[in-house]
Amino acid sequence: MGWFDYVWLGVQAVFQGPELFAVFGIGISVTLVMSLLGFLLGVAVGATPGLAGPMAMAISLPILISIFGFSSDALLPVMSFLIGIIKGATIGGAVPAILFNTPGTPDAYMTTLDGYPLAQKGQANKALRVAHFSSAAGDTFSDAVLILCAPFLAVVVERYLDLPEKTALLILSLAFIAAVIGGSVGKGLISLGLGLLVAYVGTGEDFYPRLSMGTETLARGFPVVAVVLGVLFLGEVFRSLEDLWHHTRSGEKPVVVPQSGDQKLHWADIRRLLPFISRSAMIGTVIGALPSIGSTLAATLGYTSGAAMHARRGGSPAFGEGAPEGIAATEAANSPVSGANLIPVLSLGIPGNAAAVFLIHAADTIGGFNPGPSVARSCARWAS
Amino acid sequence: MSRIPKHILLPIVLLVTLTSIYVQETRMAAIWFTVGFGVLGYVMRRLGISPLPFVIAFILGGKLEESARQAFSATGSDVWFLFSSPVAAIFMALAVITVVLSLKKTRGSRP
Repeated sequence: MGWFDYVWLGVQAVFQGPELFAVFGIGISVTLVMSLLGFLLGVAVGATPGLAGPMAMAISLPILISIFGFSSDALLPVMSFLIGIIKGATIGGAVPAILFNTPGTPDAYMTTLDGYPLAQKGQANKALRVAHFSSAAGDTFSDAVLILCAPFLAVVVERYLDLPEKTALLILSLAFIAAVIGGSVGKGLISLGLGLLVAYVGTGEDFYPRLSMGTETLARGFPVVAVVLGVLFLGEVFRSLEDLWHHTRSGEKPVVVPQSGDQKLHWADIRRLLPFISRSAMIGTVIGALPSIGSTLAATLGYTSGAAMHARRGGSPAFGEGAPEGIAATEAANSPVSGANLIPVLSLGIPGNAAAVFLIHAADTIGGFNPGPSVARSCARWAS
Repeated sequence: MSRIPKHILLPIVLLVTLTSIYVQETRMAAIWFTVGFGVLGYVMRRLGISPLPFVIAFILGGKLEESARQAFSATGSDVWFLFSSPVAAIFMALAVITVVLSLKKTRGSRP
């Protein structure tokens, strides 16, 4: 069976899943509904500064599992809900960035540079439309790449890589992650080493539980949720609380700027933005496919390359003063990352960012995960 | 949503997170582990260490050990199993090169 058959199986699984309800005699599968719900939740969460997509995924995962249970039927709805959240959060992050100059998610920071000035000029609606259009365009591009590449890669990996090679590949990706994330390699390696140390508490194939210091509690190992949520979110919450302690929130109110001028996104605008979008989408996809680099870097790269292109053409207004091209370049670069990030996740099982960590965790918890045919379940996102 | 002040939002997030962990694990020790790792995450952030490699290493750690053990026994207890096949050797060399190169880069940018 070629890899294309796997893709087709996945598409069928999504659209012919268990029916939730029927509209005009056509069954709407529960998977589609869940991905739509996840998307809406993601937009709401992304639009709230201080909440990020992974947090919503972490909180909704136990709830979802208690609804759907541990069976292979549960995999599709749960995964599509989680993927919907990722997508929604990336798009939702642009909304407060444009309206209030506070990015909802870290990768929307570059959107504030052009989005906020444009909103100040009274063209907030146009800015939002540009952001959503380029986000969706970049996303679709990377989904196409994902669907074409991931099964292919998975098949290649299965066929040519034996156990020693897989071990070496895991070591390589860990080294890459330590080297790339964060400011310095030393700190990355410290973080990596601590993570490995914690992972090996209470596991292993020896007769006695490893590193448990003789206690019953540690012998069962650390629960995955506790470690991941603790380090990623409680750490963040504690730090934000400390920041709050230092400077009590200044009572600034967002100024409502009267909306005026041409708010619609015309075909001519789209044509003007297209070169920026396509270039940024490619940057985002390539960056996203490499594990661990993340959407913030993709957004920055997309913005700078877009700025160089814009300056060469001598367009006005310049980047940073409210150019729609700036929004398009940023948003089209940060959205594809979430799609392309799934390439290593689904084909190799190596997470590239916090959101991917939760996808793998979800798949492990539910069980029955098979990188081959299940890859194309991400098609469900097209519905949102 | 974006106008909710942080001093109201953060405690809610904290509560919901802890509740969801308890729902999944149903033992009180999990909550204490979470708080402990929260402190660790806080310290790491204060020191400028990204917590993401920690989490990814934690997720991949079990898998790494499992595949290493299997590979070790599949190659007939060859100690150099990571270097005996060309592809694996290339991967290992790349891993070393990545770390060394970025070490150099950080040295260069901060003399």
